[in-house]
Amino acid sequence: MLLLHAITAAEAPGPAGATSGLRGYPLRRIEHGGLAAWATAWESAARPLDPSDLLASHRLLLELEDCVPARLPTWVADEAALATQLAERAAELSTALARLRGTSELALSVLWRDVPRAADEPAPDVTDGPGAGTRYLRARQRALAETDERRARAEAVRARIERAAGPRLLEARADVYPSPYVALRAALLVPRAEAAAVRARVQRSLRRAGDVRILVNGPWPPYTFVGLGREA
Amino acid sequence: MAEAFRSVSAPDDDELTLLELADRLLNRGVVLSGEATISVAGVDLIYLGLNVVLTAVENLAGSKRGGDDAAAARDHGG
Repeated sequence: MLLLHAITAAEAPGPAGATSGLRGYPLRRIEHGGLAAWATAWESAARPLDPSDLLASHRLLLELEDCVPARLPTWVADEAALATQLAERAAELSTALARLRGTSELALSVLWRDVPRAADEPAPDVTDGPGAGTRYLRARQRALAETDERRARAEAVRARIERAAGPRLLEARADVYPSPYVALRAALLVPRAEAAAVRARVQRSLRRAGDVRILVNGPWPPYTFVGLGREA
Repeated sequence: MAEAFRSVSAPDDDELTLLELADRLLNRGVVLSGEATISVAGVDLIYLGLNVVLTAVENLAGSKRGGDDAAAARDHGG
């Protein structure tokens, strides 16, 4: 059984620092039609995947550089089955490789420094005493107004980040105000050679923002921008 | 809902890094005919995948090793 990590162009050199796959198991390279698939030859009796395998897989992808990452875990029966799958998806995999060549992803998390009031208040008890319904509706109204206000601020943060990333920003995906603690989750696709500079500019852009703090991860493989899910 | 929010604290940087990385590894990337590989070698592959998620979440908070690895992933790209 193979645990697939990524697809590269056949001429790609492979992982610079890794000669084995996860947990020291053999790393297999299966080539077909100008593409190469990289996979760990997994022992079926091995203990289940755990978080250290996530990190090891991430490191292997970093070593591969120009690649289309596979969703984890992607299991394939054997090398023949993997070659068949490469053949079936060759055109779109080649297109994705060409689009992502030389790029990296920056992963951004922007968190509010203060938790929204509505998230920190106990739920009003609508069954308790006269006027409970009115109190409930007013509380709901306050919560909705605060949500709208926070969403607008989060949108402004998104715009500021994209301006700071500058003209070398190739593509961006953002999830605005996805939870009470998070103002924004975003992924920026940038040229790998400029990722450090973009990262620094983005961090500087929010240095003086009093209401949020930003965490920028990367440069990572362009996980978010593969665009070849089950729907593909 | 408000009660649930009060019981959850905002994650620190290491936790966030691992969550963001886990989300990308488990939810993004190319899917090569996923359904066809579910019963390979008679192993419960759905369990394998689910186990990654559950264990990752369980180990995030307070995991010294996870914290070190998260810091490495954040600061050095790996």
